[in-house]
Amino acid sequence: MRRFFAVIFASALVLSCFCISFAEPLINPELYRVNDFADIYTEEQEADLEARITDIYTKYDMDLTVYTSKETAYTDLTGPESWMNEADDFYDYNNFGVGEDGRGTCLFICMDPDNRGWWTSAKGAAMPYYTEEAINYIDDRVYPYMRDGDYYGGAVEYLTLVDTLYADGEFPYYTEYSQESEHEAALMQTLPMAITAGLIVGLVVGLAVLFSKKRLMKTVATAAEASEYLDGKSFNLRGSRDHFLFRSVTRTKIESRKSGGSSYSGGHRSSSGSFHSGGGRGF
Amino acid sequence: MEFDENTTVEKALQYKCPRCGAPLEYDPSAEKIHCGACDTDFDIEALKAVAGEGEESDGFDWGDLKKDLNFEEKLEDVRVYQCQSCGALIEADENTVATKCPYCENNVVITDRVSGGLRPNAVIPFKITKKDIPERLKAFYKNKPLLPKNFFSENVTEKAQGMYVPFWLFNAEIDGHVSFRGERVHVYKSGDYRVTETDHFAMERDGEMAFRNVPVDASVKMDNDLMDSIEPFDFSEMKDFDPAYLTGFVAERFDSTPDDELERASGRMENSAENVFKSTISGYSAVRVVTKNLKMRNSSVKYVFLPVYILNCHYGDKKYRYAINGQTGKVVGELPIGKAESIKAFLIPFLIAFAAMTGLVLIFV
Repeated sequence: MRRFFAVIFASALVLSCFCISFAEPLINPELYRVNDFADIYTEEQEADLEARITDIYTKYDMDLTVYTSKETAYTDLTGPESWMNEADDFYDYNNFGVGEDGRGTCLFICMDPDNRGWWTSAKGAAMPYYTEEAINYIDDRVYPYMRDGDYYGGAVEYLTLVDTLYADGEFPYYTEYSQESEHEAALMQTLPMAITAGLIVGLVVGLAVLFSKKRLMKTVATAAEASEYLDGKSFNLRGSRDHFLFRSVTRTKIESRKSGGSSYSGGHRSSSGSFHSGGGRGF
Repeated sequence: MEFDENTTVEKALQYKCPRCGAPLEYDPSAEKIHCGACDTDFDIEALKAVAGEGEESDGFDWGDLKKDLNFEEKLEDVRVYQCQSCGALIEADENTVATKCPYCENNVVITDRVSGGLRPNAVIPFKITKKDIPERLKAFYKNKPLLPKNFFSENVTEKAQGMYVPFWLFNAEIDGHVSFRGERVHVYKSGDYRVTETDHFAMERDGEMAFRNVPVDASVKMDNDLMDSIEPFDFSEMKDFDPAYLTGFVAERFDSTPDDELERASGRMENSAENVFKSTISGYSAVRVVTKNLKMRNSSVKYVFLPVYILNCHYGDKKYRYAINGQTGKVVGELPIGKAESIKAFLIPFLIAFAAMTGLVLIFV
């Protein structure tokens, strides 16, 4: 009897070790999911975002991190390429990811005043979710928050959309039918503006043509000059002096594009050798 | 007006054909005096010899003689002249120089109003004849898109009256100094910002220039804008004044003095002078005048007769007056504007622009 239980115990021990060796790596709970190096969130906001991220990776088994910085390590680059490389590197070199494929995403927000923008870096099984349409869909809705400086609101919107994306596999409005209805909605929104612009331009052009034709009818006018009677040879310019007085400088913020303006990468190798996809936008 | 033994009657000079004795007219196309009865042309100099006229004094120059003239001395409002052809008594107001006898239609020149201190320096004879006028009017009405459609069928155009209009021709030198302000703008992008740098400059120009023969009409009755608009005249075709040029046309002497018109002439010269100085400035995106100090010197004035046709056109209940430059044929005058034509001129481009803009916004926004 003792021998029987010993065999059972040893078998169970071997089996559990076997199972453990083939078990998928779990999410690393020691890593912070909100890494706010640019200091754009308050402590309460960071805690809230952490909770949301925990909820997502618990439900969908997808890692997710939000990373902000005042610069990228890629000082010789600006724009989408710099954000993409920085996001990929942060995700890979800090060992984010679930499973053998390291699936998950990194939302990187760059707060460099001369290079502001964000990038979604997807890896492993997360990559198929982030199609170009999905990236544009998310970025269109996040952009107004980022443009107006509501970075916490932008992050909340982002995480909400990611939750929906993972739950449904694609965005509910992004079907062919939805594209048409979205197109109709956009048309109805744009129509009043188009008519107003048409009326103003039409009025200006109509009046310009009418006044130019009226000018042809007017042949009588007071002579204000006598240039035809100037003795050209008599003109003598005795003195000519130009003096610099002062310089005035004005700076105007350039408005970024409203929508459909995301950069996208369908697949590339990062500096760590891993395969990533993703997209992002400036603000 | 009634005439009695106290009425002063003066003889008016008339040119008669030395061949047949018929009245003579100046022919612009031939630049000679023409007899319509025997179809003979005469040179002015030849005619003067026949008529027994002596050498006239030089035409006067206001610049030298102005101070000696008394402009307050006025001729009587109406004087009476006797027509040498039919003997009729003709009334002519104080300014009339040349006219037609209302009874026999003979041409009359009242020479005491164009002699001595009142003799014009020069005249530009008529080059355009009355026969040319319909063609000139036709060209004038062309390319007038707002002219009412029924204008041609419903307007009544009176016969054109050829007249010599008195003008002052001003000469002057302008000497001065003009100050300007200018800007140079440089726009570039810096990060998310558009930077506009504006450099402000002060510019000064000193110089002098001369204006010759700036015309201003010397008749209060003639509309100033109308007379301004028929310019330019080619003053190289000016001839020494001779009353013979006036035959067949109406003429009036000045009733507005050079001092009355100096402001008009000097204003035109000053505006042109400012533009001449401004044209020497370059390399700035915006230039404006700040101060100007312009003086006139060596000014002088000539008294000339310039050829003009005047005609009136009646359309609807309005009268439209046209003037035709008797040398170049340029036609000017106010034209009626049709309501329907105006609406069409506005609506068609409005609708096209409205459709285009609306479509563009819907496509690209």
